[in-house]
Amino acid sequence: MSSKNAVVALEGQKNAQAGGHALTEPGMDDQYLTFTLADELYGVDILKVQEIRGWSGVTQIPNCPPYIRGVVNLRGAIVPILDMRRRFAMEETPFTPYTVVIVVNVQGRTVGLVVDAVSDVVNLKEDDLRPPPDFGTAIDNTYLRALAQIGEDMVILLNVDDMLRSSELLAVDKIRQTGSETHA
Amino acid sequence: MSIDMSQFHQTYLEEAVENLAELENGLLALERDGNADLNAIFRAAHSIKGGAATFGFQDIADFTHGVETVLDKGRDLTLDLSAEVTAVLLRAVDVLGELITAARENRKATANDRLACQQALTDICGDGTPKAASARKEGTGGHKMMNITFKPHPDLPKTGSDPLNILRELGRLGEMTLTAFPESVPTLEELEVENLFLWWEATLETEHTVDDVHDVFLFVTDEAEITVQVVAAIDAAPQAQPVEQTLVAEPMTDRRAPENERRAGNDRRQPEKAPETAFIRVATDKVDNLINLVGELVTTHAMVSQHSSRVDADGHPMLHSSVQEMAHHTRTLQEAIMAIRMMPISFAFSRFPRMVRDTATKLGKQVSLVTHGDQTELDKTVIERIADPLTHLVRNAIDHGIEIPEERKAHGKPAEATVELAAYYRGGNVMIEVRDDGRGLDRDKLMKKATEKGLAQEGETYTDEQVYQFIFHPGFSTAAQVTDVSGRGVGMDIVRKNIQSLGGNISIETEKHKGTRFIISLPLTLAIVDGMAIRSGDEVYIVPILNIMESIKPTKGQVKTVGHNAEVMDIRGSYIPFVRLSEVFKTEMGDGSTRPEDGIAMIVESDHERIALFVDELLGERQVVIKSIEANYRAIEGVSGATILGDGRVSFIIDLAGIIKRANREGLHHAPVKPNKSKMTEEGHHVV
Repeated sequence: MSSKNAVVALEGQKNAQAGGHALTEPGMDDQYLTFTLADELYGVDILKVQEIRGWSGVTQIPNCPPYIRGVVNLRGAIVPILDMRRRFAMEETPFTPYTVVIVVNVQGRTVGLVVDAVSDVVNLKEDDLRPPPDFGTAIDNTYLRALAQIGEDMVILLNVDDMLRSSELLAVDKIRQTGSETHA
Repeated sequence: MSIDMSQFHQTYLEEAVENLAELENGLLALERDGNADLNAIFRAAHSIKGGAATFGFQDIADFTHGVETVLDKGRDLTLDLSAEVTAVLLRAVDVLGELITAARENRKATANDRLACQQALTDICGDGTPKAASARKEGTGGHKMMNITFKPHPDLPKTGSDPLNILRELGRLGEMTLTAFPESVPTLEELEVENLFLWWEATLETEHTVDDVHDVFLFVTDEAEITVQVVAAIDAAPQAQPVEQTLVAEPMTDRRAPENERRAGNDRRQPEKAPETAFIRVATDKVDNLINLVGELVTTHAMVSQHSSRVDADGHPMLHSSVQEMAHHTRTLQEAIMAIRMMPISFAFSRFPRMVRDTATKLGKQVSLVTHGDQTELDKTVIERIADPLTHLVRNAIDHGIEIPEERKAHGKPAEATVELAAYYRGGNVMIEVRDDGRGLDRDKLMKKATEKGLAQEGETYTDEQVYQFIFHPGFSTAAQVTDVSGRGVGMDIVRKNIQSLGGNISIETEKHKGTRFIISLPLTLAIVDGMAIRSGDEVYIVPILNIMESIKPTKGQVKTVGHNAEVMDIRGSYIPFVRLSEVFKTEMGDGSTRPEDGIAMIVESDHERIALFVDELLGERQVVIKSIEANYRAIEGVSGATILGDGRVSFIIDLAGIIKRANREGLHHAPVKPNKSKMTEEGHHVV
C-alpha cells in the first residue's frame, strides 16, 4: 500500500509540475491527507506535506497573532507553527498525545500546522469535489478549495498556499518595508 | 580541434582584475616613494596582456601592450618614470579597468579616454628622455626609419582580422607614411567580396624596436607576408644597428628567437619570485553551506553534551571524556571553517590609496593616506559590506574634514594632511578607525543646523556625543556647498545603517583643529554572536554582549513609576528608561513575580541610547550560531535572528535597537521627566 502510494504520489507530482494540477489525467486520483479539528474533517494536498510530527514545545514569537504558536527547531531550520484551531477561531482544547504537527512546504517555506489528529490518506477524483458555497462575509472561504463527500463524512479541502498567503506569515516584504519606513 | 576558450574567460578576467589592482598599487607606490618593484608592475601588465591575447580579448591585449612598452622602458632606465608618466599610466589603468569590466559584463567598452590615453602612452615612448640606452636590447632607444611591407593573403578577412586595425596600430608606433598597392585587385566581375587584394608598404619613423613592430602583426603572421627593415637610425643612439628581419608565411622560428632572448633577459633581471601560496577558487555558497553544517554540528554536540551530563559519570567514564574530546574537535573545526571566510581587511583598504589621491587632487588638497593593521582578518561578507561605508567616511574626511593647504598652514599644521585607516581587534570585535587631522567637527555649527532641522530644541543642553550623532540623520549636512564629492546630506545615515546591519556600531571623537576620528566596531563574523542568555517568562533569549554595559539587581525603590505605564531606574543618580522585556514582547508570562527586585536589570546600549532592560534571570554567556528566521517566517521587530540552544529549543537573539524603537513607540517607558543624561526628544525624532 505504502509503496504504491509513493508511486502514485510521484506521478501526481509529475503531473502537477507539467500542468498545474494532478487531475488532468482521467481516472487519476488526487491524494489528500485528512485531519480532524473539533468535529470537522479537513484535507490538504498530500504533495504539500513534508512530514508529520508530534507536538513539542515551541518558542513564542514576540508580538505575533495568537494563532502563530511560535517556532520550533526542525533539524536546524527555524519553522513557524500555526495553530489551526486558533486560525479558524475554534474553541481551544488542551493538547493530547494525538495532537500532531503537519509540516507542509509552501512556496519554498516550511510551516507546521497544529491539528487535533491525523486521520487518513484519501483518494479523490475531480468529480468528487464540490465548490464551496459562498458564505458571504460570515466565513472567509478564500482558502477553501473544495468540499468532498467520503462515505458519511464531508471533508473540507484546504488550499494551503492561499491560507498561508492570506495569513500575515508570508506578507514578508510588505512588513519589512513598513518596518524600514518607521525606522527612517 | 578548437578548444572552447570561453570557459576560461571568467577566470582570466578575475585574474586580470587582481593583476590590475597590483599594477595600480605598484604605480601608486612608485608615485609616492619614487621607487617600486618595477618588475612586479611589469609582470602584472604582462600577465594581463598575455592572457588577453590568448583568450581573444584583443582590445585589452592591444591596449596593455602600450602600457607594457612604457613600463619596459622604465625598467630599462631608457625612460624616466616621472610623475607625469605615472599619471598617464594610472589613466591607462582606469581604461583597462573599463575594458575588463566591459568584457566581464559582456558589453562593448565605452571608449571614453581610451584613444587619448593610448596616444599619450605612445607619446611618452616618443618624447621620454632616454637616460641611457640599454646595451641589452638591440635597437632600443633612438629614432630609426623602418620600411615595412605587409602583404596579406587574400583570405585574411576570413580569419576575423581587420587589416585596417593593424595598420592603425602600426601608425601609433610613430610617424608613418603608408602606400597601398591595388594592382592585384581584379575586375568587378571576378571580385570576391570577402577577399583582400591590397597590400601595403609603410615607412615608419619610430623609436620602437623591430620586435615591437612585429608584435603589431602578431596575430596575422600566418596569413601575411611581412618584412620589417631598419633603413636608418635618425637619432644617434649608440646601440642602434640596422637590423633586418624577414618574415614569411612560416615565421615562427624567426620570431621566437628574439622573443625567447627577451624573456630570458627578463628572467635574469627578476630575482627569485616570492614563493606563492597555493590557492583554490571555491564558490562562496559552498563555504557557506559548510559553515551551516558545522553550525549544526556545534548545536548537536551541545545536545549530546547536555544529555550525557545526566548520565552517571562513574558508570561511563569513557562517555564523558569522549564527549569532551568531541567538544574540542568541534570547536577547532568550527574555527578552521570560519577561518576560510576570513580575509585580511587590506582587500577593503586597497581601494583607498587611489581614491584619496583622486579626491584630494580634485579638491586641491594635499592628503597622504596611512593604513594600519592591513592584515587584520574578518569575514568576507563583512569586508564586502564595510567597503562602501568606509569609502564614504574617507571621502567625507577629505572633503569636509581636511582644510586647504593655506588654511592648514595658518593653523600651524603641515600643508599635507593625513588620513589614517586603522584596523585592530578588541575583544571579539574588529575596530576600524577613520582618522583625519583636519578641522574637526564644529559643535556650534552642528547645533545650529540641528535646531534648524528641528532635531534639537532650543534651550536644551546636549552632550557632545549627542550633538555629533546628529550628523547621522538623513538629510543632515553642514557643507556650505554641495560638491560632487559630498555635502548632499545623504550618506552618513546610510553609513550608520549599513554598519548597524552588520551588527556594528559607529562613534565619533573629534577635537577642533585637531581632527576627527570615526570608530567602527564590527563583529568578527556574521555567523556567530557572543551573547548573554537570559530568561524572561518561559522563554530564553540571547542579548548580544556588545550591547551590555552592566547588569544590576534592582533594589527596592530604585525603579520608580512615572505617570501611567512608564518606569525609570535610578542608576547612580541618573534616570534611565526601565523597559520590561516581557511587556515589549507581549509573550505569555510564567507565574513569576513582576517586582523589579526579583529580576535583573541589564543596562544596555544601542545607538548611544541607554535603557534598563528588565529580565527574570541571567543564564550565562554563550557563543551562538545565528539562524535566519526569515527563511520560513518574516522579520520580527526586536529580534535579529534565532539560534538553537543546547536542548534543541529555538531561542531568539535580541535586537536592542528594535526593542528601544518599539518601547518608544508604544510608550512603554516614556517618562515625561527630563533627567540630565537620558535622551528625551520627541518620539518621532528619537535618535534611533
